[in-house]
Order: sequence, then structure tokens, then C-alpha cells
Amino acid sequence: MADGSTTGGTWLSGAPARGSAADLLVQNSHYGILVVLVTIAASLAPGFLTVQNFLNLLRSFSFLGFISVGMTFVILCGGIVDLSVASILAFSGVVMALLQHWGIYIGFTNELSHVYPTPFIILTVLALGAGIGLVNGLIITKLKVTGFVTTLGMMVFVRGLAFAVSGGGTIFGVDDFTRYLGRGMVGPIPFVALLWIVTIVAGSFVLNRTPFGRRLYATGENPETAFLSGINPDTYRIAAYVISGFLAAVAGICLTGRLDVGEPRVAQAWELNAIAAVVIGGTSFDGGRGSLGRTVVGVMIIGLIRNVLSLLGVLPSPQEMIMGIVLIAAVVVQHVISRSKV
Amino acid sequence: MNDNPNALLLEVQSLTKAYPGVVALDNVDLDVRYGEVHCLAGENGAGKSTLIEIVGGTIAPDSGEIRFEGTRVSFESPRSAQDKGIAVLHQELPALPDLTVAENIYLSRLPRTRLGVVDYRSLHREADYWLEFINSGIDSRAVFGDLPVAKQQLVSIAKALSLDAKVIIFDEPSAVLTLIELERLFEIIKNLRKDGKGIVYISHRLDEIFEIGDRVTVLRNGAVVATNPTSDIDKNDLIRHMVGREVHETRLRQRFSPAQDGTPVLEVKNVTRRGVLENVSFSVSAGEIVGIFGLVGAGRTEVARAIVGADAVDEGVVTVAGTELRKHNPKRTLRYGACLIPEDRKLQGLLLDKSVRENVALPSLRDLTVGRVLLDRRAITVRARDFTEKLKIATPGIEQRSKFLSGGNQQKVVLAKWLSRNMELFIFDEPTRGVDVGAKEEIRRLIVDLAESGKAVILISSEIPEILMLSDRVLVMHSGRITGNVPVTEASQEALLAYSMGSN
Repeated sequence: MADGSTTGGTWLSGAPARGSAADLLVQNSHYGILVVLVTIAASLAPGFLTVQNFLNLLRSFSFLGFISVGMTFVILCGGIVDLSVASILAFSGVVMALLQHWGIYIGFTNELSHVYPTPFIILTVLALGAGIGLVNGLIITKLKVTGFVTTLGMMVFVRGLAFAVSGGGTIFGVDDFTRYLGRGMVGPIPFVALLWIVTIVAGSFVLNRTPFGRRLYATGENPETAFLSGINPDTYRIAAYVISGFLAAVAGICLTGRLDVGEPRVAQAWELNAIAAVVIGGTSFDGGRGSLGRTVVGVMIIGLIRNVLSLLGVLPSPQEMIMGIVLIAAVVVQHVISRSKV
Repeated sequence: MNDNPNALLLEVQSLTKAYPGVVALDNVDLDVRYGEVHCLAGENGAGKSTLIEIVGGTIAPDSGEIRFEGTRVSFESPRSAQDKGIAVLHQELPALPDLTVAENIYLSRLPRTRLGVVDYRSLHREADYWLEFINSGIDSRAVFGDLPVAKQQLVSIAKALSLDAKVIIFDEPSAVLTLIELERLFEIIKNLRKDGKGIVYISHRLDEIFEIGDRVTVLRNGAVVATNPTSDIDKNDLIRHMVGREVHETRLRQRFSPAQDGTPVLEVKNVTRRGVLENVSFSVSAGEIVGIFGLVGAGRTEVARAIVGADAVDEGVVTVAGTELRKHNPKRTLRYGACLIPEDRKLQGLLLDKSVRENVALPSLRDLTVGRVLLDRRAITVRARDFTEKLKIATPGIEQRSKFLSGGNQQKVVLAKWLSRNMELFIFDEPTRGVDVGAKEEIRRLIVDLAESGKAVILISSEIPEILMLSDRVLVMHSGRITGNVPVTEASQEALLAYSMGSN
């Protein structure tokens, strides 16, 4: 992907000047897992290694992918986690569909409303997502509440809000444009996958090639050093949550298009999958170490494990159990290897 | 108890402890008699803390022995020292603030009833006995964390007594006490002495030593300089012992003559941060090096942090290059050309996991861009290479992660961060601490060069020779106040030390 070769994960950190064998093993264990998974999948399902299947998989990764990218910003910045992303995703989808049905309230009962054009609706929803992220960031930095508690509260609140605005029900039907966002193809490539890839590239660019990105890394690794170097850590922490909320809204809009409904129950526990993707990729919870490229690999590993389990005919609930084991194993393996290399 | 007034309760013989690059204790002898208050004095880093940590069982000596009541002992842990009867009362008292006083005293040995639950009645009876024994006036049912610091200290004394401690070591107890509280403490110490306990009392305040001490041992550079009865010596003797012979190091600095008309680069006016800084005022001119000396906790670092806006102050104004700054932060101060090279390079100066290149560029990212958005990779590389060469940073390359560099080279990377920007005022906080001799010399040279090129410099240091070698003027701090402001020509080691202990 965009990058992801070293722990620092960036051209500014440069090549791993001291790379013992164990170092390399730790840093690249996730690639190994990926190769193993692809091999298993390919031997189980003959159609697995086709371009078409790959593109389909890419689409299925994308929705989780967006919030994992946002989660990476938050974790890199030392903000621990953003637990509210899945709720923001669901809320955004509901608002997206709801605003398209505004007509319901002003007389058009069974048609889509054209009172508020779709591009404006999208901008509104994106602004709402970013706004919720902003509130998260402000509570955390200005009121000094821990990120975990703040976003936990926000997770419950926003999920409730999604149910409240939808009246608890599902809002059926969105317009063609929105459906295109979730289902459309650009040539052979699903639009949403393309959008995800663009997001990753843009995100990596911002993280690695702009002062903003390097300051965000600095804030995550050592806020005190950053502060004395003329960086206001609060600015970057808030920005990370805004980005996270914004990308959750992007995912919500696209998922609504894909499902053709606004549904407050979608994406339950996805915030945990996003965290798992970041952790399996190897981005450090301590902040300042890791990269988007690693997260992309993490997202793929999670997606592929599910894919492989389905190919094996494993039912959904044992799948969850296995995912849990994989997550713990990934963390334990990294921990053990990094400790043994002293 | 022993009736012989000269019998030795605790004997320390030729204790030695070395750390890489520094001998913390060098053949130290010390003895404590029954019913004696034995004071320890010495500058920062003289070895007092190391000595009591060994006696208290926290660290093990490299060689030497400890005799307790005539028999040789060795401690593997603070617990085993405690069991023998040696209690160390640290400045920061380890305690569980949410438990009661009695629970804190008897934590590891709570009395139990036959059912195995805590027997609170006898717990409080025991605790109250010891609290009353020292006339503390503390209720054993009070919550520990609710007590003022002075009373918490009394609780630790009660705890020490309940453990049947024979030697009680006080590590700068007065640092956190008011005068009245201190008098009470002295009363208690005098009573303990009457009971035949051996007291070791460490303090930076010379007056206390003469008030409470029977004998005083002075440490310098890890070695004992002298042990005398306090009745045989006076304050000046003590200071002379602490400072030692004049170290002959040549001044690196040409005499500074301030420009007649120039406004100062930095003006600090009445800066007060409650409980930390009190009414601090001074100024620094272009081309001048102002040294700030003081003992640990005197408020030197706090002044530096207040200047750059790293900590908020309650009152006062900082003026940098003619601009008054209030409620500023380092980001803003930086724009006016003032920077702080912090004391702890690992925790405050560097991103240890990032490359030399990234660290050097960190404060100047905005200037190293194309169109303010895209980082200019080439400019960053050139700058990092330049300064790696200029400062002779020993590294395999600018891509090396800074955690793999030696202390001196790490410090140079921190310096490069600021030298590569155009700053007017440099505040160095202990720039040569933990740095090898060669790098020390280079860093000092660099500081002088900065001043000679017209920059204003503040040099905070615990090393008097370094201050005398580099500064034009010396400020001395004590308890958050500036107690001395002398031209270097009139400064001597004795005078600076006297100011730093709050006596003139």
C-alpha cells in the first residue's frame, strides 16, 4: 500500500537503520499472516484468486476500511481510541436516508424528496460526522476527560440518536446517486473501493508529507517534546477525532447506498473491528508509531479471515469466537517477539 | 539500649557504589551513635541520596559494609532494613491516601481476629498508642490523604516507631514544612534522641543543621570531606567543606560589555506562580549569558518554563524582543524567538523513535515546505546534514533513530533543533548533565559562540564551575525566589552556595 515498511512508517523516519532479524519479524509479521490467509483461501475456493473476487473483497473491506483509517489517526495521535465511529456510521446513514425523505413531512409520502438536493445532503451528513468528532475532541482536550470514556459516552449517545431520528425503524429507499456510492462500478472497480483507496493515499500523504502529519505523529509519540517544539498537542488531538468522525460519516453514506436503506442497527461493534484492524496491523497503542499502510493490511486480514471461515462453512457465531482468538494471538505474538529481542 | 554515650548504633565502612561513568560513593565511612542526631550535608549529587538508599536497603553497594549494633548486616530490600530497625522517611511518602492513618501504619501486618478479619479495635489501640507517643494529636481513624503534609510525616514517624526502628533517617523533611511544623518536628526528634534512637538528618538548610544536629558529615563528589561535632564548626566552615578547593577551570568567555542603548532581549517582571515562583524579575541582553544557579527544587526549571509559556503563571509579564507575552505557549513564544532546551532530553527534547532528521526539523516544519503544505524533503535533508556536521553529531546517518545515539549526541540533536532556526534567546536547562567530557566541552563552546554572535542566553546549571566558566552574570534562586544577582566577577563558589541556601 502507500507505505508501511518501518515502525516509524514514513520517509521522514527513514529506513530501519538497525534491523535485527527479530525486528524484521515483528515489523512484518502481519504480511506473513496475509500470505497464509490468501494461500488457504485460494486452495479452498478455486475462484478466489480471480481479479473479480479480489475487487469484490475490496468493496467489502471498504466500509470497515474507512473507519479504520480514522481510527489510525486517533491512535497515532496518542488519543487511545475512538469508540464512537460505528455509531456515527449508523447515524450518518440514517440521516442520509431521512433527509432524502424529507418530503414525507411536507406532503410527499411515497416519493423521494427533491427539496434538498443529494449533494447538499451529503455535505450536511459529512459535517455532522466531523462535528461529532469535534465535540469528542473538545471534551477530551478542554475538559480533560479521557478519550475512552468520552467516546464511549458518545458511542451510546449517537447510537441512541440514530434510533431517535429514524423512529426506531428502517428508512427504505435512497436515490440513484446514493446507491451508486455504495454499489456503483468505475469500469471493473467498485466505486466505494476506489474511494477507500483514494482516502488511504490521501491520508498517507497527509501523514507523511505535510507538517500537519508529522506534528500529529510527534504529538502521539511525545506530547511534551511536541509542546516544547512549538506544537499545540490539543490541536492535533482534536483534528484526529474530527477526521475519524468525518470518515465514519463517509462510510455511513456509502453503506446506506449499498444497502439501499437507512438503518440504525448497522455496524454494531464495528468500532472494535476497526481497533482490531489497527492493532493487528501493528500500529502502537502508545501513539506515534505505525502507519496507514499497516492498518490496510490489518483490515484485509480481518476481512480475509471472515472470508476464509465462510469458505470453510463456519457459521457466524463460531466466526466471532475465532476472530477474538486471532486478535489476542496477534497482540500476544507481537508482544512476545518484541520482548524476546532485547 | 546502650548506656555508653559513644557506643555505635550504626556503622558504615568504606561504602562504594559506582554507576557507569560516575562514582556515586567513594569509600564512605559514617557512624551513628545511640541518642544522636547526625546530619548529612552536601551539594546536589554529592552522594547523600545514594548513601541513604544503601543504608535503607533500596540499592546494594559495590563494596563496603554496614554494621548494625555491632554485627555485620546486608539488606536485600527496604523490608529487610526495616526488619532490622532502620527506617527511611522519604520526602515523598509512599502511602495509600484513601486508607485510614491506622491502616497505613499497620498495612502489611494488620491484626486479625480469630475469624481472620481485621481486628479494628486492637489496630486503632496500637496506632493511637504510637501517635500519642510522639504527641502528634492525630486520630488513627482519620483518612491519611486528608491530613496536611506535616501530619503525614508524623504518621510515618509513628510507623517507624511501631516497627521498633532504632535508626530513623529523615530525607529533607523541612522542604515541605512550615516553620511551626518544623519546630514541632524538632521537638519530636529531640525526644527520640532522648530515647536513645539514632537519627540521620539530611537538609539543605544550614541553620537547621546547627539547631538540631549533634554531628555533621559533609559529602562531596561521593566522598566524606569531614565529620565534626556541630559545636566545633560554623556555617562558613561547612560551606567551604561542601564546595571544596577552587576548581581551576579557565573561563571560556571574553568579558561581556552590555550595549549602552540596547533594550534587553528578555525581560521577566514579577512572575509569580503560587507555591512555585515568587516575584521573579530579571532581564537578559543580547550577547549576554546569564547563569541561573540553585539547588534542586529552587525553581530554576520553573522560571524557564514560565518564560516560554510551558506553564501558566498567576501573575507577571514576560517580554521577549519587545513584545509583552501573557498567557502564551511555546508555540507563540517561538515566533518571537525564544526557545527552551529542556533538562530531560529523552522525555522533553526528543522523539526517541524518530530519526535525527525528523527531530532536527520538528520545530521548523512550517519553514521547510513548498507552498506551506508539502514538506520539502530536500531542504530537510540538507538542514539535518548541515547541522549533523556542524555540531559533529556522531551518528551513522541522519536516518538513525535518535534513541540509538549516546547522551552527548542526543543533546546535540536537541541543540540542532533550535540552532537551525533563527532564535534570539536560548534557555539551556542543564545542557551538559549526563554528557561525556568531550561533548560537554563542545556544548559549552557552542553556548559561548551563540552569545558572541549576539544571542541572549540563559544557562541553568547545578554545576557551579560551569556557571562561573560561562556566565556574565549569575542569578541564584532559593525557594522560588531570586536571592542573588551578581556579576560573575564578584561571584565565588562560596557566595553562590550561600545564596542558594537562603542565607546571605
